[in-house]
Amino acid sequence: MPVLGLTMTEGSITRWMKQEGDFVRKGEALFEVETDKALAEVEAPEDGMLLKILTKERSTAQVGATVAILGAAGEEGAAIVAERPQTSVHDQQQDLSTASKSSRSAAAKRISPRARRLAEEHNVDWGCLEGSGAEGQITEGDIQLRVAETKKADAVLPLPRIRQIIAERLTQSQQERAHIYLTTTIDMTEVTSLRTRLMEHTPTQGVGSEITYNDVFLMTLGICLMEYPWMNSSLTSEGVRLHASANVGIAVVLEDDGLVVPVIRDVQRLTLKHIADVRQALVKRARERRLLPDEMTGGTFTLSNLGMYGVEHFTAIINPPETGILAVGAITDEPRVLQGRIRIRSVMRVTLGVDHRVVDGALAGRFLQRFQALLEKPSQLIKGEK
Amino acid sequence: MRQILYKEAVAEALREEMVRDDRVFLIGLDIGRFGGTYRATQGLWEQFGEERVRDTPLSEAAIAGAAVGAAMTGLRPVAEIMYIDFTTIAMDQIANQAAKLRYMSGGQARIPVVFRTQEGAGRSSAAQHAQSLEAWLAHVPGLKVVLPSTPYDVKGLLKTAIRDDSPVVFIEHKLLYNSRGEVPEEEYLIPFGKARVYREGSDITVVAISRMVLKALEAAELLEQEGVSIEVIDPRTVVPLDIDAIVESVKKTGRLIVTHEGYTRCGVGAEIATQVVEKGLYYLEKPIRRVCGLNVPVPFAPVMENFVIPDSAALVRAVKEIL
Amino acid sequence: MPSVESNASGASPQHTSPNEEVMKSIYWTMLKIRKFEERAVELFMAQELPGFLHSYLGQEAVAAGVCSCLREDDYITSTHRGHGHVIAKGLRLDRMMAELFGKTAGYCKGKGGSMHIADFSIGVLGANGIVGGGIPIATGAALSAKMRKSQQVVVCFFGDGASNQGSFHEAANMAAVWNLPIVYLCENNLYAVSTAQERHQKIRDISVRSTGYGFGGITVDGNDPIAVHRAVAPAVDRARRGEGPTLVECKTYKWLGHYVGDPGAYRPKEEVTAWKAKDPLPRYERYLAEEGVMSKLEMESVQQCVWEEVEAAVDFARRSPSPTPEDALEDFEG
Repeated sequence: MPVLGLTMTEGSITRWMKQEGDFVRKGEALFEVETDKALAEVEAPEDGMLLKILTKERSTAQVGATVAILGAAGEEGAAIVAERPQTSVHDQQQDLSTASKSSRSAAAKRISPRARRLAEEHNVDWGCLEGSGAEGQITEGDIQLRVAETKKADAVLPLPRIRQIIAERLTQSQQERAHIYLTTTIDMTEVTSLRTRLMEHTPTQGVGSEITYNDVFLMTLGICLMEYPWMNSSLTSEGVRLHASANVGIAVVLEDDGLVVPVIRDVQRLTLKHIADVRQALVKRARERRLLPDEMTGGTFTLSNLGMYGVEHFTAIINPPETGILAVGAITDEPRVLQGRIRIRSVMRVTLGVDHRVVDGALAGRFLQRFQALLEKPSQLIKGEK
Repeated sequence: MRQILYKEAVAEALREEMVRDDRVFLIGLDIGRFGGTYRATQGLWEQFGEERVRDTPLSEAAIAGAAVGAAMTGLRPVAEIMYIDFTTIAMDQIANQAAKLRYMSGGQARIPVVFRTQEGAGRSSAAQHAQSLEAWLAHVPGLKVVLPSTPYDVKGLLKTAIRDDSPVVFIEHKLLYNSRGEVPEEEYLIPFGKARVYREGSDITVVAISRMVLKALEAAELLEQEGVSIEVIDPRTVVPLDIDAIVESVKKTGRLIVTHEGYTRCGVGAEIATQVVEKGLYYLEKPIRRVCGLNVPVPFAPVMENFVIPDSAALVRAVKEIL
Repeated sequence: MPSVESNASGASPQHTSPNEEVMKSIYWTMLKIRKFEERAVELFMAQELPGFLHSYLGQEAVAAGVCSCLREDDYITSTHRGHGHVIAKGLRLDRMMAELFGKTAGYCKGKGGSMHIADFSIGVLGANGIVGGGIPIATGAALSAKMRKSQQVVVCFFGDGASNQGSFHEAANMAAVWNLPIVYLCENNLYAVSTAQERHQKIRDISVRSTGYGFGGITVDGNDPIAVHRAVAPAVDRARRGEGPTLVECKTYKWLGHYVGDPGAYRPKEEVTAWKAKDPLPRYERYLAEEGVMSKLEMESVQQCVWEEVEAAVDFARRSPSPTPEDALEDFEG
């Protein structure tokens, strides 16, 4: 087993190109080796007959170990096995230096002995480094830098518990569900001006929260989910549970990495203003990591908004045990055709993700259509206001 | 601690050893009544008399040879060769006889002789009186070669040399005789083969021989102002050489300069550099530099002499080259 | 001020001849040297001995005569042609032979070889491979003897070639000015390597050089051991009494070339033949017989003993273990 890389200690033979009894010429490919980096072909070092294969395909051998015997026709392959000593460590070191020498000669790089020693200590492949010394010589400093950099890139941080949970849940969701995604572009011009008007009002109505787009979406979802109970469901072993309330979770990104989904309960019953209050309080507590367990469970649907990052469109993964999730993008001005004319409108793309095990495309489409319609004519939303 | 001159330290060492052991005696040109050309044996003739402080005819071969013969037959002579340049005349006795008789006789002969001499440039003494030839002596197996750079070293090493049972070539430096340094009152000996780190540093190792130790320390002061820190090591004995101390230092700094007044070509610097490469190649960041006498006879005129003999400025330049 | 004796050839008339015991012992010594050297030459030609061999054959009377004047604790320094000197001083033939063979049982553990044989326990401060190299050392030993007041004397052997070395000049001068207890013993065998004496120095009698340093010199027939004794004994006494150095020149001749294997073509054949005819050994045997010191039978028995001793030495040397390669690093500091 030859040395095929500075750090290689063993290789796995993936394929023998020749069989026992075959005559091979010097230079012909004998077998293929898989190392931690790549696949490599090993050639016959001399002419001869492949008398015995000692390491079969898909077996591993240490660097320096005999993997096969090549000899003159008629020689006893098995007998020779007993005679051949394993390559000593010293030879391995020799091979190492010749291997590294040959791989270096291509680069023809100069390196000081001190730097070389440091590089070998820290497993730095200096052949690809640019030296800062005279005539491009690689210096001790260059190696130290490299070591420091490598250390940075290779920092291994333990996964925080919260990420572990998220990871588990997302994976679970992906595996369980048959996700399908439906996207539509919603004309938000009315909502935008409505929101502006509401904002103008709000301060005079005393202490309260600013009404955000998310609040509008939450309210709209509340209405839609009541109208399409299958969108507000969970698939259990007993069957599809249609939830009585719309408890919509809103995805909140935490500062130091992590995602939490506080749940606003009974959205369908709340006024826009209430929604805003509740939402604000929850998000605040979420960011402070002070959410109560009740506030993070019992969700029936989730809203995820990446519009603040300028994201046009994205697909979100359904939060188990829910059946649907709405991914909302940025509101931008675009030219739209209205009544045969081109107008500049504020538009937003939303992508509805549904579990196709429970809901099929048509239903999802109708749900989405309703959502869109409500937002495009938002006066209906504030029917309940005042 | 009291401060005394290098030449006084020599005389003290000789005096103390002559008091301690009756067998020790001095032999050489003008060492008695005159007190030595550099006054290193001042006062000894007065104290010990003609028998034990023997002025000789002008005969280096006989001086050295007589010392060998006397050493072989029970005495402990300290023979002075006035200038290391004159060891050439005594070379057969030093290199072919003293260095080899113990070996050739299968261990029968014991030759506890010290050949005291001095070397160095800086006084316009010109080519035949300004050489530093320790390399010639170091090349001969059987000779120990000692080069003290301070009063403290010269006293401790000379006592060790006199008590050593094998031939020692003890090389003082003409411009160091009047240098001053701390020397304890109490007796002390300095073993051979033990280098001294005169100044610790982190950027470059400078191994200096004899008077170059002082110049290296000057250079160190200059460089410190520029934020460069050099480590100055004095091997003190070239044979035996404390190579381990030198390699330890190079391990730290990655850079080595060797400096001596002796000619660069085949000087002791070449031996030291090679040993460092042999034992510490993988600690070296830059090539080794030798800041040594140029390969040319030492000229008379001061401006030329100062050119061929290295000084602290040359050391500073060399340091900057391999920083 | 020591009395200066000019270069007279012949014995000093004032000194008596050696007694019978000494004369017999001289004979033993000459025979030992002769037989040992003959055997060594044979072995060398048979390629059993590595390195060089500088044969003493023909000069036996000098060493025997000189050393018959010395005490055991007196010192000698010898030369590259020194087997005779060291045998005469008392070295054992077996350990000498072992040294020639390069064995560890040799005097120098095989480290020195023919040219550097030494035995410090009996004052043999070593043969020396550098011509003239031993002269300053001998002078130093004499200085040491004087400073230690030990009454020891040093005999410094050297040849006509060495008499031209600066080391001789320096050492002799120093010995003179310090009155050292030393006899400078010049074996003038008329050639320095291949250069005849008349081509390498203007003088004929090297002993005249002593006047240049301020001490006495004498020239004698080196092939007459009694003459040698009668010249050296007073010199040794003078030295022992603290009267300083003497230069004794012994005229002699070596039979073989500079080294064994050197055909010596630079020497006229007639010259060699003439000197061989004056072989000191039969000449001394005749003298012993005539003086009634030893009978022919006695001499033959001595010859037999010596021959046996030499053979035993060869046997000893052959059977002795060789050094290991690593022995090269023993007895040595750096």
